[in-house]
Amino acid sequence: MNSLSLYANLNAKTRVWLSKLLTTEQWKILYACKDTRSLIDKLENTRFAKWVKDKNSDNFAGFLDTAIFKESLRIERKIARNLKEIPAELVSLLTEEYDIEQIKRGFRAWRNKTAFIPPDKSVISERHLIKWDVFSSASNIEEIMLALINTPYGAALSSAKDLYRKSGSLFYFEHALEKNLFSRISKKINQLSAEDRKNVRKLLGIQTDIFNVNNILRCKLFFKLPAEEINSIIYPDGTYFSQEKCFDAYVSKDAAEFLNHISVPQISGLIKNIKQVQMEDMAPFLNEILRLLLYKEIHNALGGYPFTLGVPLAYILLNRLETKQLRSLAWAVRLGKNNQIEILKNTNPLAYK
Amino acid sequence: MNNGSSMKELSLVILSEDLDKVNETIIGHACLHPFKMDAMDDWAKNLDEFHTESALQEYLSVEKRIDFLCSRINFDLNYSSAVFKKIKNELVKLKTKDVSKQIIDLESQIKSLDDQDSLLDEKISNLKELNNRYSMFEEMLELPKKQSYSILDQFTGKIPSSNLKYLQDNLTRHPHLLIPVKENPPWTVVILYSLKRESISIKKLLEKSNFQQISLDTEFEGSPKDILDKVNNNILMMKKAKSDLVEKRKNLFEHIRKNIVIYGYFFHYNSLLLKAQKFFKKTDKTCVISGWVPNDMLPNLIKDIKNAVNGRCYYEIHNPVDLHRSYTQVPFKFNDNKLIKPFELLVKAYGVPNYSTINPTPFFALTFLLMFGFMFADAGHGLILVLCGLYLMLKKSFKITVRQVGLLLVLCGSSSTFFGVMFGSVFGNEKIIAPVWIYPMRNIDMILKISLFFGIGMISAGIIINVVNFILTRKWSDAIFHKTGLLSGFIYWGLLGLIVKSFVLKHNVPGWLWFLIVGVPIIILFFKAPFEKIIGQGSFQRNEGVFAYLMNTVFEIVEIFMGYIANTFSFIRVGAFALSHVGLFFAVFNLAKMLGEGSFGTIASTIIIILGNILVLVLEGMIVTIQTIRLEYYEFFSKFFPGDGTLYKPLSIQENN
Repeated sequence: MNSLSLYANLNAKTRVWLSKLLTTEQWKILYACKDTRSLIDKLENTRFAKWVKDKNSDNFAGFLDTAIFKESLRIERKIARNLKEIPAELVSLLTEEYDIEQIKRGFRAWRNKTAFIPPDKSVISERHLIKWDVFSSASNIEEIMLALINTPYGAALSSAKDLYRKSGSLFYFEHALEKNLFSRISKKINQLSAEDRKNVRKLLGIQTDIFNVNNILRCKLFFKLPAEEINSIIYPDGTYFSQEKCFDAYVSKDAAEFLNHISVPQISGLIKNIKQVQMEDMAPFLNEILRLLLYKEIHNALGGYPFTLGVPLAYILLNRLETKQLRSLAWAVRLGKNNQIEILKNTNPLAYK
Repeated sequence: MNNGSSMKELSLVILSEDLDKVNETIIGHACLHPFKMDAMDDWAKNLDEFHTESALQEYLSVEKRIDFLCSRINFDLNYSSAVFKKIKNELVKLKTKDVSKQIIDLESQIKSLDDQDSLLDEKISNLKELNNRYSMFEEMLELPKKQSYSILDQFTGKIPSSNLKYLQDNLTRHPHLLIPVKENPPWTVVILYSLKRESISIKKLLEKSNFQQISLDTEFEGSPKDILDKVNNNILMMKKAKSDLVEKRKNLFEHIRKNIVIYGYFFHYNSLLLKAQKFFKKTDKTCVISGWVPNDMLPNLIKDIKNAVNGRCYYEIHNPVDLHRSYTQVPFKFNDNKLIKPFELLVKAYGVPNYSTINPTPFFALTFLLMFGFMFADAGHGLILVLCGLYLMLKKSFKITVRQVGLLLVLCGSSSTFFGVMFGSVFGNEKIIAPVWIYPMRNIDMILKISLFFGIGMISAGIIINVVNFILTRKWSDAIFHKTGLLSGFIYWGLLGLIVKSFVLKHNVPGWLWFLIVGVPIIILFFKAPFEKIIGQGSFQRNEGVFAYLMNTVFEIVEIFMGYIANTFSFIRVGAFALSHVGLFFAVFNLAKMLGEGSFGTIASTIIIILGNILVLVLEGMIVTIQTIRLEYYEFFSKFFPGDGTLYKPLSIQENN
């Protein structure tokens, strides 16, 4: 009864928002656009109509970058406001991802010694007080860490300090921030009611798996991270892959062994034949399968018991997925990369029934 | 004169209780050709018939089963009177129901073995096919079944290696995993995994890449290696089962071979009795048997029937002419000697002569051999035909018909050899022996003239035989006025004589002579109807009217002229084929000569000569046979042979009697 009273109102709102998401037919129309103008025209008949009104096609893709953040954050805050206690805290915690994106941007500006414009309040969570001008003024990394010391990000950066010093790569800071956030999210999930916990764990667990698989592959193929340090980039509580499995996958010799550790039941038969395949060829396919599983899980959440946190969370994930796809499409269209548009179309689960 | 055996009509009345004995005697003598008496004499219509149809059908169906058994055990159940006499006493002990059950049982056993065998064959073939398919994926550790994927499509198959790059390039736009499994030039065996949601576009792409699916559906579980092991084990098991079947079949066939003669004769004899009864009539206590019997065989038959029934019978013997029987109703019995017996096959293919007319077989045999030999004149090829013929003739396991064909080949081959020697041709080579007579190519005029004269001779013979046939059958009007009657003959021969005198000998032929030789017979042809009226014969329609009659006669005369001209010139083909034989070999030897000039020339030219000879032997041999038969049927037989007679088929245990 508690959950019913808690989620009934939000559930109804979420259903309304869900109905406004792009349909598969609309996606097909958008993918057929040959230039930004026609993309803008086609978006006029969607929920993004307010964004495209009187928009110039020249700066549309750039505009979309910011607009998407703002819109997503606005909705997620709205969802958090409609919730109470732990569920509200969890959704708020999710909005910290936007902060991390801005911190990453700040680090790159600091590193490249380029100008850094502090983010507008509409694109950050405002959960923590961050002195953004530090990315313009800091002369060393310690100053930045000191500026963030009163936020959870400070502790995360401290943990990756040594690795950064050894390698000089910002990669470790970025992952430390994300890992810290995922750990806090995981702790928060544990405080949820049993029903909520089950649903949320499934949804965010697969997302965690996707991050982990991508990180492991990136490290294995490009960063060549020492095995003993790999745990620093593995996020906790994946649905399919535990930290041990991720570690074993990282130290595997070939694609077959890799998949032997990193596998989902849906492709188990495929693993034994993977010997003939290079890891580079296999990675995008595996990533796509995980994305597909996440999408299926989202649908399961929406089709299951309605009075849980799973429903608004599923909407958040769908909204993020949709806006991200749209952003990629806008840039591909702007740059005239038809091949890329075709790939985007084929890898977008929202474009298929 | 050979005009078939003379026949007598026998009518026999016996007591019903003696029917079986009389039947046995008749079948034993194998000389009575039965007929239904009511078809000849109206009084017989009042007599009852034997209703044997349903029983006969049952017997015939069992006989069919026996034929099936014989064909399966490769046994020729050639029914003969001698064997029948030997086993007659054993047949008496058998009961129809028991034997029938035995036959059905044996047949079903064979069919069951056949079914098992074909099932095993099918299974082995499927397994071998599966083996072939899985061999391509032998190196794979596991091949999950397609349906085990919920989100993936699995495509197993091969694509031309040259298309692999195209496939890989186009797949980059789709999430996929392409595993090249094996190079099998010009193919590459691949497995492709893609997302189910993209099934349609992936299938299109595969189609464009000329991908050929290899189905891996099987009931076997495990890795390809495991499956291959299981498949091979199964093949071995199936083969073992097949060899067991062979043993079973061998034993069964042995059992059938032991009994089939008794069973076969039992049903054949009983169905023959029933067949005979279909022709017989009956009263309460008597049976009336009627049939045609060759004159020379009649006394013995009568004697034995009398003995069988202790004299309790009444019979009448009549000459068919005395009873004014139609000549088509009385059966014709060929009485040719063994040498020309095989030609009966070809004559019968055209038709059966009418009773008491001239048997065309000797004429057919002689002219067939002359024409065949003349057209296919080659001593070498002739000898090959003789050898083939001897093989067919002397191999005792062959049926009588096959052996007769063998004799036919021997005779035709001998004729070819004879003419080959005459024309100096051995395997198309005219340098091996000198011609006893002439080289055809150097005497084309002569060859064509001979053909023409031979044709004239054949047509003339046809006219003469026809006139004689009409005289023998007492059709006086037809003997004179028929299209190939006496008058037409006069016109034909007269015209030929006048043409030779006028155009060949260049003699002046006066008009009155043309009128006398051609005109007068034509005028006489118009008197056909009055003549028929006087003698009371013919088919002249009284209501036809004079004008219609005259027009009919005019058209008949035109037909006679056109027909004879066309028939005569048709025989030129005899010479033409004799020349074409030489011509064909001219081409073969020239080709061989051309090839003989290069490297390996001798071998090439020898091969060409051998192949040329085989081609000519088969192709020309076939064409010449067809042409000879055509000339016989259409130019010769059409003059005198209506072919609507009845073949003499006596009741006999022997089928080929």
